[in-house]
Order: sequence, then structure tokens, then C-alpha cells
Amino acid sequence: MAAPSVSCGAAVPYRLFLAGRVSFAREQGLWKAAASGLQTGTRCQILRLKHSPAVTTTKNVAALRRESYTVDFIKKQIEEFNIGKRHLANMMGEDPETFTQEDVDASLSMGFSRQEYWNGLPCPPPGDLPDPRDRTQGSCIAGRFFTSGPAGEALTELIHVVFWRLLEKTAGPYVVHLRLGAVLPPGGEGHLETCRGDMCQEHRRAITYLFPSGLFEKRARPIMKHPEEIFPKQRAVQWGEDGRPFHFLFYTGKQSYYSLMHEAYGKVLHAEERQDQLRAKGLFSEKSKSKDLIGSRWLIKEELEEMLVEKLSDQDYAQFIRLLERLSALPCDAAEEEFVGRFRRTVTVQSKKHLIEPLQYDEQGMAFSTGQGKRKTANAEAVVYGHGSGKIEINGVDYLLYFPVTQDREQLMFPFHFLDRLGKHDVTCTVSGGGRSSQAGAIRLAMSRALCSFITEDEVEWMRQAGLLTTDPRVRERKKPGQEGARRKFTWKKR
Amino acid sequence: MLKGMTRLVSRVHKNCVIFILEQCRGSCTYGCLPWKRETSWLDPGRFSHLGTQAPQCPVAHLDNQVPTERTRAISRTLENDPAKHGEQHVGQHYNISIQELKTVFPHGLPPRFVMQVKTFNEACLMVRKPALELLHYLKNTNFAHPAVRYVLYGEKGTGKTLSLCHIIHFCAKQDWLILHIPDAHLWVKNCRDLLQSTYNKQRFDQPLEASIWLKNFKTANERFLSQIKVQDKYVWNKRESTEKGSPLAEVVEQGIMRVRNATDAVGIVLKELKRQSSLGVFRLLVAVDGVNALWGRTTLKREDKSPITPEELALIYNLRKMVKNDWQGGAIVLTVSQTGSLFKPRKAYLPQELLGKEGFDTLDPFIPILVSNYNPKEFEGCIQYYLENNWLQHEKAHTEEGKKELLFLSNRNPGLLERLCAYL
Repeated sequence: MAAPSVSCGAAVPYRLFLAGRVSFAREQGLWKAAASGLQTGTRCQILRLKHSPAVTTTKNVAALRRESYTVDFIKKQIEEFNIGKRHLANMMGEDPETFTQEDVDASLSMGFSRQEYWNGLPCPPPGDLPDPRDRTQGSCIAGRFFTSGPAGEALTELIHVVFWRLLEKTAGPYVVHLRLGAVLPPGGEGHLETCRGDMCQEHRRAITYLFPSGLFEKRARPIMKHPEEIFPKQRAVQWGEDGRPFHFLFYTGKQSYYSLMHEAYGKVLHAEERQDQLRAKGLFSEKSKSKDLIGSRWLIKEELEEMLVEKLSDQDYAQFIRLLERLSALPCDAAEEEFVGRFRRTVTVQSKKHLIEPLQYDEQGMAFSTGQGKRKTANAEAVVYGHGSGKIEINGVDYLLYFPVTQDREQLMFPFHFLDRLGKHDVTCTVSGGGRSSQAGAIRLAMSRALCSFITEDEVEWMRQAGLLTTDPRVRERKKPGQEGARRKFTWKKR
Repeated sequence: MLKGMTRLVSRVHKNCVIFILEQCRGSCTYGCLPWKRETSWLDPGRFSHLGTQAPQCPVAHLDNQVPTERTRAISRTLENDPAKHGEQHVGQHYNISIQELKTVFPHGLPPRFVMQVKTFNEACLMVRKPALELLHYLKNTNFAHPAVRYVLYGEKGTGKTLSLCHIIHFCAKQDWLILHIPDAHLWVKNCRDLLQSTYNKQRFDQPLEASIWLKNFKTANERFLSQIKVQDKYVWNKRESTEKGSPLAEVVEQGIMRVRNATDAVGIVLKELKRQSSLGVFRLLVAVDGVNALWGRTTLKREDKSPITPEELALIYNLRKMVKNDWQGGAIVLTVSQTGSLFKPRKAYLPQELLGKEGFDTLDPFIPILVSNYNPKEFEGCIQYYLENNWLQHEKAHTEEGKKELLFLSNRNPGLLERLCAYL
């Protein structure tokens, strides 16, 4: 994790700077100088090259190597994250201990208005920020916030945390120049607790509320997550000061994998031994193990790699799964089952559970149900009546007149035909926008959703598998400059 | 029963199916459908059955033998005289023999129906309620009163033209004189040759359309033409003229021979018929399909590109006079349709919308008769008719689900149903 030492700000090559930003935790003083240097850096780069030829001709090994973080650094990030979380809770007026459970909407309704809050601060609200896409001014985003007063401090801390995450995620030229000292809340580290995975919906909504971003790329927007989720998992140093590795399988190259295999095989032998003993005693009985295997799946290769923090080959993975299956086939005790359970993930049978509205009844006592559907730019709303003769009315016009093309009428027929309910329901719908085909698709979706109230759960699942309940995500792709259409390029002329 | 019926007896023989068609006299042997695939039906290696492509159909037909009798009871009736059709025949098809078809309908049938007649080798019309209603009125007309106007209207494809044909068939059987204009829209558009009228300088002649119509008129009403005598002298040109008292056939001949005078011949025919029907010698039926063309706009233009209004066309002008109810001894049955109309929105089907103010005022008062989509019984009858003629080859067409699908897709619209079934 050795970044080349950053020389004085006037002579910083751009590439080295990027590699070095990771380690600026130590170079605080130089940072500010480098910050001012960046703005002139790109312009002056060519000039700088002349002054320091020795630096540029050597291969930039550090930049090519993957960035790695020290354990201290990660710990620091976790502390700061927790502080930021507490600040956020304070801002929202919630109890920091149980912030994750509060509803942001409820807290907002208690009088927290964004405008009021921002008016009370000596800094402009995020809406006045310059266009985030305007990269040349990236340096001044954070600079406009300055510490004054406790609320301001909390906010700047939060901003620091948030923008730091932003920086990590995009690895773009957004640079946070102001490195603020960590401000611990009164009471010290007692309040810090690692809250892995507690960052949930409310947090995210609060962040998107406080820091609205105009960026299209969702991954470039400000986020506030636990550092474990952001920084990739890395292995600690594997050998001691004398250079001797800690693990006995270090020299295999894939120590975690082989140690896991060793452990699993040990368990297999153990289980077989126990099975032999039972057989010898005559107490052996066939036990079905299918119970715990249903509804779950083995880890996939990527998940296993992530768990072991090691690269595996396909054959390794296959071998491991075979061993685990062999283990699970034998009668195991609780410890072994728990061991196997670590490598299984549950698979929900019904991956999509959406609400099924109950039937409504109108004045005559007729059961009906409404549904909405969208396709491209068409929006449709359908009301399906329980008893009818198969009449469909769209915007007051019979469907035969509204859709003279057979293809559109076939689309309307699909849900009913699928459920064998042709001619049993009456439908009244309204549709707007889009063209002929997208209106037909939107009505079809709306009708299917409305029909869900009339049918059994199984049939809903069949409909979902048939694709009747899914909004078609395809929309028109934008035309790009330099091309004739979304994909079509201009005719290529040789000369 | 019916003379033109075919029966299928199928026998599975190893890996090929030989169909033996039992025929009564009259029709051709193994009516291959002209635009479906034609195969020789003794090829051992190939399935062939009225040109079908689906290998599953032989199996389906084995089951079809037994219900044939029952389906015939639903879809067909033995009563071939329209005068005797009643409520009990609604939804059933009755047969018109080919000879009658040639005489009564030289030019009246819709083109798709003509294709269907050619395919099935028989002309079967369905008896429907609007036609029955009209028949009832016609049977009870008082010929001393001025002619009553009946207007058949409805959405596209519901069967207005075929109902009109039903009425015409009835009147022909009753020995009326049929004045049938198959489609008035054809006279107001796509006319290549417009001549300045010889009779009246402001108007235009359409020799081609007029001569075609005269030919068909002659075929339809041969027996009357010699009986009716003209009551005026008509001078065609310097050399030809028709004397007073000569049969109408001469006028018609003149019109057919001399195409230039065809339009005037048509005008004369109309005038004479109108005059003489009031005398009670014969009963006149004026049947116009697409009467909204008479009061709409035309797409025809003069040489200087200015548009022509319908009254400037001699044919239209004379027809308008015919449609007025100032004569006795007959009836006027009209249809308004959007299909061939010019400059009318697709969804318009009411007489008010299609005729426009002028036309509506002229035709007022009239008896409107709505022709709507099939009711369930008629739908069933139609499907059975297609099944009997083996028009529906899809294996699902026999099943209830298939019928429900067809019902949904066509919404019981006769025209659409016919088009859908053409693909099956």
C-alpha cells in the first residue's frame, strides 16, 4: 500500500495523483496544496512533464496495482460512518439509537421542512449546487460548505461522509478537498457501534432527500452505506514480520479454499465413521434429508469467491460442491448441518409477491376490480366486472371499433383466454397516450392486474409466469448524436 | 337434402387418407378451393382434402360425421323462398340456386360473398332479423300510397348489403322489377372518362359506368323490358331515335351500343319506370347501396381541377329523382355505408352522419332499420355453416374454446368473422 510520495504541489502528474488520493489520510497537509494544484494541474501537466522526466518515464506500478486499504483505514471509515449516521438522525430529529426504525415521513410531518432547515443554515441548499456533471467545478462543491455552529458541523460531517462514498463509488474526478476532522459526539466512542446491514430504506430516502442529484447514473449519486458494503473485502497481511506465513496452507496459493476442503472432508470422514458405528450397532436408519435442501440452493461461484476472498476456478468450485453434497447425503448431526447451511441460500418459490386487491362491490352488488397498466407511453386503467358477457368498452367505444387490427384484439384476449374466462367478464377501460400497439399492451396489463382479484393464488402465479403481470420495461431508446438513430450509424463511406 | 351438398366419408388407409366425396349432381367433383392449395387427392404420400394443409384435420373429420345432421338443422333451412321466411328461420342459411343467382344478382353481391359462392359452390344467405322486418313491411305495402323509403344502417361489416340482397331476392321471386344500383359510391369516384352531357351542358356523363349498369339491368329484368313501352319519343342523334310506344328494351340496347348515350339511356329508363310504375303495371323496387354517395362529395375534377358536386353528374341527378317518394307502386330500400364513402370518418354509421344535412332532409321521412352484429344463435349458425363446408380447418375450431375465441376476436361482427375464418 505504498503510494509514491507526493512531491510539492506544483509538480504532480495527474495519474499519480489519482493513485495517491487513497492515501491522503496521511498527507493532509499536502492535500490542500494538491487541491489547488489540480485545478492548474491539467493545464500545466505538459509543462510539468518537462521538469520531472524521471518520474514519468518509469512505469506506474502503483496505479496499475489494485488499490488496497489498510485495516486502520477501514476502521476509521466505519467510525466516521457511524458518526454520520448519528448526525443524520439528529438532523431528522430522531433518536440516534433507533434511527433505522423510524419512518422518515413521520419525522418529516413533525415539522421538518427542507426549506426551513436550509434557510437556518449559513450555507446554500444542495439545489443551488452547480451541475454535478460539470466536472471542472467539482472541486468547489465541498468548498462552499463551511463549519459554523453545531448544526453546520453536523452537516459538513455528513456531507463529508456522503461525498466520500460518492468518490469511492465513481472513481471519477470528483475530489473532496476539505478534509475535516472527525467530530465525535459528546460521549465518545461509546456510541459507536458497527451496524452492518442496518442501513435501510429510511436512510436512503433521507439521503436522497437532503442531497438531490441530477445525475442519471444511479451509481454516481450520493450514497451513505456501511463501509463494509462499499470497500471490497481484502485480506489482511498473511505473514508475520519474519516473513513466515501464518496459515499452513499458504503456499498452495488458495489457502482458504483448501482449508475449507480439508475441513469439509474431515467432516465427511467423521460422518461416515459415525454411520459405520451405527450400522455396527444396528441402529442405522434411513433418514431423508430432502427437507433442508428444498427451498435453497448452493452458493454460486461468485458468492463463494466473495466469501473466501480468493479467486477460484470452475473445477475447484465443482469439486467443493460435490464434496458438500456428499456430506449432506450422509446422516449428520447439528454441527455438520450448520456447516452445510452456511453454503446454502434460500430461494423463494414466489419471487414476486404483489398485493392482490380485494374485490369491491358497486351499488347493484356487482363485484368489480380495477387495475392499471403501462406500456411505453400509454397509460390504461381497467375496471373488470365479475359477471358479464365479454363486452369490452374502451374510452366509451366498443373494442371492435377502437382496435380494428386483429393483433390488438388478440392482446386483449390473452388474459381471458389464459384463464379460460372468455365471455364471463365485462370490462370498461380508459387509455391515453402511446400508439395502437402500446395502448393494447397497457390495457392488457391493466386487465390482468384487475383479474387477479377474481382468481386463485395459483392462477396468479401462472399469470405471472406467463408474463401477464409484468410491465414491459422496453421504452424507446434515445437517438445519439453522430448516429442516425439509436443504433443505426450513418452510412459508412470509404472516402 | 339440398342438391348441392357434399358428404365426406373418410377412411384411414395406412399412412394416407383417401377421401371419397359423394356428390349429387350439379356440382363439380372435388371442389378444390381456388386459392387454397390444389393437390391431386389420390397421392398416397400426401394428405389431401379440399386443399388443406393441416395433417391433423383427418382425425377431426372422423368425429364430424355424426353431428353433421344436427348441425345442419342449426345452420340450414330447407325453405328457399324468402316469402316464407319467418322468425323460426333466424340464424339459418337458405340456398339460392346458381341460375337464380345469375339472373337476380348480376351485379349486386359483395365481392367477398361472390368468392365464397365460388368456393362453396353454393350461395347461401343467412336469414336475419332486419331482413325479416323489412320483408314484413314489404309484404304489407299498400301500393296506392307513395313509395316508402327504408334505410338500412349499421356499423361496418354487419350485413347491410347482404340484407339488401335478401330483399331483392324476395322481390324478384315476387316478380317485381328490380332497379338495383350495387354501389352508388362507384359512380362518384375513380371515373376516367367524364363527358359533357349531351342532354344538358352543365352536367357530366359517365359512359362506362352507365353502360355496365345497363347491361346488368338488362340481365336482371329481361322479361319486363319487352313489356314496358316508352311513352315519349327520344332522339339520340341525327340518325337514331326511339319512337313512342317502342319497348324499353330498345332504349337499353341503344345505351349499350352507343356508349356515348348510355347515361342518357339510364336517365330515360329511370324516368319511364317511375312514370309507369304508378300505373300499376308492375311493381318497382329501387334498391341503392351506399345512398350517402348521392349527397356527399366526389373525387372527380374538371379539367381545370375544380371539384364536381354530385348534382353535376347526370347519373346521380337522375338517381336522386328516383329516390324521391313522389311515385307509387313500389318501395325504395336504401343502404348507407361508410365503407366506400368519401371524406367520412371511419366510425360514422348513423344515417344523419353519413347522409349529411342535405341528404337527410331529402330522404326524410324514412324508416330506419338497424343492422347489428350477430346474436349468439346467428353466430352459432354461421360457425356451423363454415364447419359443414369444411372451411375451418383448425383443429380447435370445432371446440367450444375455439368458438369463444372467434367470438371474442370478431365480437360477432359478420364481416370480421368471415375474414378471420378465411385464415383458419
